[in-house]
Amino acid sequence: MTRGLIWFFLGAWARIVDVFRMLSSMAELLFDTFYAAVRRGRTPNLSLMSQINRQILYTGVEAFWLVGSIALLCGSAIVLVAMLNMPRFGVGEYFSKILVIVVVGELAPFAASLVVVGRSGTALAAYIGTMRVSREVDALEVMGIDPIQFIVQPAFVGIVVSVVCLNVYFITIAILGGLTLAQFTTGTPVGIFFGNMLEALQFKDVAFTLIKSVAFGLIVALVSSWHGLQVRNIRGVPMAAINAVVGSMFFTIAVNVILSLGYYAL
Amino acid sequence: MSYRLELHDISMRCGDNTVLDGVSLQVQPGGVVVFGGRSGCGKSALLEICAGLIKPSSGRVFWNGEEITDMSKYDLYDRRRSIGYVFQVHALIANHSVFDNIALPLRCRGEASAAQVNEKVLGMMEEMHISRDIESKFPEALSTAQLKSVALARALIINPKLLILDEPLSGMDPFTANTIISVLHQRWERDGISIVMAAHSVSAWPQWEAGRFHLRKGRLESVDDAFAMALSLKPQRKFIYARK
Repeated sequence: MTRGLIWFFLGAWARIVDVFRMLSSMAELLFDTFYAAVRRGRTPNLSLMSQINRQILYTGVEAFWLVGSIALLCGSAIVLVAMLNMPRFGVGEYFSKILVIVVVGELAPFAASLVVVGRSGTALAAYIGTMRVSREVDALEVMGIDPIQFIVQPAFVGIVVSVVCLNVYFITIAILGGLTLAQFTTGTPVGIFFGNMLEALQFKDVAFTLIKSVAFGLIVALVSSWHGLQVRNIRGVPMAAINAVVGSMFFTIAVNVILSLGYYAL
Repeated sequence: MSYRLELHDISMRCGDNTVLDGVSLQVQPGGVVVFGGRSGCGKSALLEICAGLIKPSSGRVFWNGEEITDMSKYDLYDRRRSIGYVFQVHALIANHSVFDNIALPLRCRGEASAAQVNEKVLGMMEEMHISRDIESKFPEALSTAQLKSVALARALIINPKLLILDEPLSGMDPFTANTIISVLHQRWERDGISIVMAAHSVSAWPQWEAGRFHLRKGRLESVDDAFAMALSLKPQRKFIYARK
């Protein structure tokens, strides 16, 4: 019994050490990525813009239909449920504020990052992992090209820009789509509700949703790149993709909770 | 154009397995060293140590008299700008076309305009007999010989002072192999670049006054009489010189 407990605590301790090691390694990658941006003055990279454009195309532009559909469905559901139920509880006048809190503050940045995790996080981890296996990362290093600067940095910029854009796009489609649907189904005057919503929307709400989407974009890019760079053989590629999704989702939810707590507590 | 590479008492261990055991080597500016050996004898590991891609378990590596063994990765990136390396697997960037792969080192240095890059890449393709029909193709559409040619073109376009080649002729048709040998010879004669290469069979390579070695049981053994003589007079771990 005692021996079992000792083994249990030793195992738990080893796991904790592993997690801290992973976090410190991720922090190092994050530092290296920002440092690579500073270093670029010494090593100008003409390929950087094309890499960033490619990342934005894959992550942002190609996700427009999917994010638009999800935004329309979620927005319709939320707007309809709120419109039909809030007056019953005598809180109909708070509809616009609730919509701002739910869609702008919580749903949009989270949904946008979730789509990016599923589409691009896995792809990025598998892409970098495959590059490691096929020695492309080594080839860059031996040419004097920093792989962080060539692969990770464009992914960071591309994913952050994409998540921010998809977030704004999600908010627009969710609210406009939801209100338009509400007008057709319940005959609610959209103009009045939209005006109220814009009134309820404050600068700090916009700043909050943008900060969240930047943070989520950074998390997806960091976790996915890190898992991709850990790949040592071809068997590690699918594992990297799985770990990238799981890790990105976990850290996104954790940071979402921390940011929301900080925002509403202030 | 000169580059001196020195390996001092390099050992490499993977678990209980000793891959390299006290290898010392000096490649003088304009020197050529070819070493052969059976698959898995540590040829690629030795080349990667030469390029600073992996750290040896013990021993020191010098580039032009500067020790790189404990150099920071950023300093290594700067120093590697005068080194060309061709991997046994081509290691071309998969989402870049042939043209972009060859242009990559130039573009990332930012030292040449787009027009100059274009001109240099086309010149390099011509020198390597790479058809312009494949310039927009991606690596997956190329044959082994074409992949190797493109990889060598990418390494040569920066006019390296030291060229490290891992099995450059494996999987080659005779025509492409001859082209590669003649391009390398021309570069060696004209520019005086230092060349270090691994090959399954060292006899497949022309002499070029090269130092030829076999890597056996983690140690370099000369296959040239002159070097065999030198080896017989000196202890195994002393330097082995290969001069032009």
